[in-house]
Amino acid sequence: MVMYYRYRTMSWLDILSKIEDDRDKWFYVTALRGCDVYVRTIKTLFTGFLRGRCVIGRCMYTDIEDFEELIIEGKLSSIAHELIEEAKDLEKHSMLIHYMDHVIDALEVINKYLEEYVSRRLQSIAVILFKQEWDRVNDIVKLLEEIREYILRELGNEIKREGA
Amino acid sequence: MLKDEILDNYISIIFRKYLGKWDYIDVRSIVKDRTGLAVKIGIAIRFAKMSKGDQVLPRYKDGYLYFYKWEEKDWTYGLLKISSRGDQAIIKATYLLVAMGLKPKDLAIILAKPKVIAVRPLDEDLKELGMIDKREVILQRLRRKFEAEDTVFMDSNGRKYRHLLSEFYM
Repeated sequence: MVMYYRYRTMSWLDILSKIEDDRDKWFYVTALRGCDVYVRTIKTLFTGFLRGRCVIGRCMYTDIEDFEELIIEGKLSSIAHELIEEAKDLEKHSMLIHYMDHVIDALEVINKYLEEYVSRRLQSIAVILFKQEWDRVNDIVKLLEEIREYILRELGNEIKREGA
Repeated sequence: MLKDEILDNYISIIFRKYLGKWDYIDVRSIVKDRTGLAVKIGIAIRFAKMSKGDQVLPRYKDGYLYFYKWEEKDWTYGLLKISSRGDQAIIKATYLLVAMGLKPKDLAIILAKPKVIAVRPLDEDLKELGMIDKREVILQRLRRKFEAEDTVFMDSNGRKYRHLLSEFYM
């Protein structure tokens, strides 16, 4: 149960220190650098998850708390719709499609080195989300619900304490 | 304690490795400010035919971080900009430099030829030479060279440059 909690307390520097291979390090930092186009949902969902705890300053960067807030408190169907709307733009912005490839690579790197902190299932869901055909909203909602269940299961007690 | 001549020989070996392949070879430090890490590239931009404000495309290969001159016709994303700190040209690249294992004040070898600048941690070369345990002594010697020589290098056009370290060892 402390597995995901440990991941969310790690900063990108901690995550980077766990990655041994130079090529894998490059995949991870390339995805962290983000894309030059404004895509709020995609950045919050995926870059926020990749980044872990943000040590530089919350105002400037998406961190894992934004990711959790969106999943736990957001309306999943509207998140899925936003994701699809942004994805429609992806077809126009070839650089974003390129960015998504980097994020998939980075998620796979996290899978490889941080499996003990983040379940393989959560990683696979994120990769499936990115490889999804974008007209299937219900599938995306289903996957987001799985992510929410996982996070709530891992952080359930802590969230109750915070709310009390 | 190693003699200065022996230390100079080691430093010379490092520089000679790049001689012929690159137009400019120097050792510069990594700087840190409140927003992250940057590498000082100094006059390397002149040898790379770039200028402050230009955009560069970062790539990593075999332990070298390359910054290619970006041109409008190229398609890519994630470009970096050559900015300045005082009169010093720098490239801010926090994530990439940290991924290379560089920390603030670490030294890096800067290489340049037209349209490309490369960065490589000096420690990597010291490891190759088996001199990593003498790192501090070699760095002290390098620093002393900077201070003692304070040399101005003049190119064929009469332009003067300070601290072109490779010139001391060729």
